[in-house]
Amino acid sequence: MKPDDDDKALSQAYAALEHPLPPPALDSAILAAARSAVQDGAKVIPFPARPRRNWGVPLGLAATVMLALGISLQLRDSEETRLDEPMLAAEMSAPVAAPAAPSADAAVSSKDEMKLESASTAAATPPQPEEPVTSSAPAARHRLAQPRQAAPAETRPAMEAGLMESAEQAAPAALAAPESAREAESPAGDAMSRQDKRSLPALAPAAPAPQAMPAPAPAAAKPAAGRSQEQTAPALRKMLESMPPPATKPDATPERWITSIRQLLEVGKEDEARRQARLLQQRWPDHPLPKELRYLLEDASQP
Amino acid sequence: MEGYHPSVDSAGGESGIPLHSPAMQPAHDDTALMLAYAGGEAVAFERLYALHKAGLYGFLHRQSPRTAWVDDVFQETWLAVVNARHDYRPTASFRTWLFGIARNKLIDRIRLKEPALLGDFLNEDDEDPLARVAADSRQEPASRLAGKQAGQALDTALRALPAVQREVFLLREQADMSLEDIAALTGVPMETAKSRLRYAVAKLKATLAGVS
Repeated sequence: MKPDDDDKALSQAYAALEHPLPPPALDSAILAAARSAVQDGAKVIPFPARPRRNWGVPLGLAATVMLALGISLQLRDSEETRLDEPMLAAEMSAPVAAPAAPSADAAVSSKDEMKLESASTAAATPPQPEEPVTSSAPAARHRLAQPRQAAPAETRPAMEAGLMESAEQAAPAALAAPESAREAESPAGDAMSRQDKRSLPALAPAAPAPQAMPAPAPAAAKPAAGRSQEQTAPALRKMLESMPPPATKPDATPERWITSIRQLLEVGKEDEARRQARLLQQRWPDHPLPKELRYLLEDASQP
Repeated sequence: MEGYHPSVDSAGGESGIPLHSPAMQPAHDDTALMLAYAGGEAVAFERLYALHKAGLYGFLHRQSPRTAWVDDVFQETWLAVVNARHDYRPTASFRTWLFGIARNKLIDRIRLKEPALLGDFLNEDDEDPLARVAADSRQEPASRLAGKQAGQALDTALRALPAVQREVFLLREQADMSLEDIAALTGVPMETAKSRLRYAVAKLKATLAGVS
């Protein structure tokens, strides 16, 4: 392999170079490891630790665990939300004995929040007979008279629309609200009122009930309400008569109430108009009725 | 299991081992020493270590792209020998086995630390027109070169060689391995190993001629 003198000279030149030797400490370490291996019978001598490799596995495991936890928490939250929807729908279709209108702290600006608040208030507040409640809203009474039933098979937006409409219809139904509801006249409530106006232009009780919500509107369901009143036990009917009206919406102003009374008269529902006028007088005693409507109170006061 | 051969001791002590000790220590003696160490004789390992530490360390010192890696790779190589003592089979010379372990450890280190350099160490393309020109040119005999300047130039030229050519040259000069063993160790045909060695020698001789 070294055919000529040049190759030999090159080999000699290379051999003449400085050839470093391992440091003595390294020699000692290697020889000690070799001796201990045969003396202790150790099968494998570990190599010098490599911090990067040692940290890689724990960090990878930690990252995996954190990722799995995050995903599971998100999935659990979404499951809870989905589970709450049927309950909300059931509560929406259940008879509502408690005041359905939001309380003072329920004056929220979000439409969805208002729906949830209304539904949760209805679900969490059982009927309290000891409180003097006088409700004349046919829809509310109809729902009270009906047994608890499952939610209809309509879609959720439809049910929400129905809830919104029924709540809105209950407001002009001259439901006497407690003082707390009266104090709830706030900008937030006004904002909610504007939103309701946009979404529910038909404020009058004569507005047709939404198809998705079989709960009867006051006007359209008057015969049904009458039937339900007849089917209701006299004691329960009496109790309902004595019950104070549910808390009205903060935006149930006397002017709007009067407007709804006029609309009732226009469609020929004078009885309902009388009742609304009487409730308006109870709710707003300081607000006089227009002259053309005062006869409703006079006639209503006669037995 | 072969026993420990007393003849190994006649090669001289640790301090008396020359750079090209394999010429004085036949390969079968290395095999016997390794088998004796696997049988539990620690002194046999000490003899093996004394015989090959300089050649292995010198190979790693010039072949490693980073000087800081030399000690680690050197230690890992010998610890691998210790851990593999029970699995050792004398199918090849101990020297080829030892340098093969070192080469693999070095490539692993390069792959881990600086993968961009890995291509130079695994490059199979040996065509180098400059090397061919240098090989064909007639230079003055290298025997005329002497002195520190020539040594530095040779060391610089050696580091400037392509990794695969430098590897073959070092295995040839540092470990006194045959081309057949070099081809087996590096996993290439013998003609390829021979070509690499020829290119390396030509370049180094051209460098030395330029210095002179």
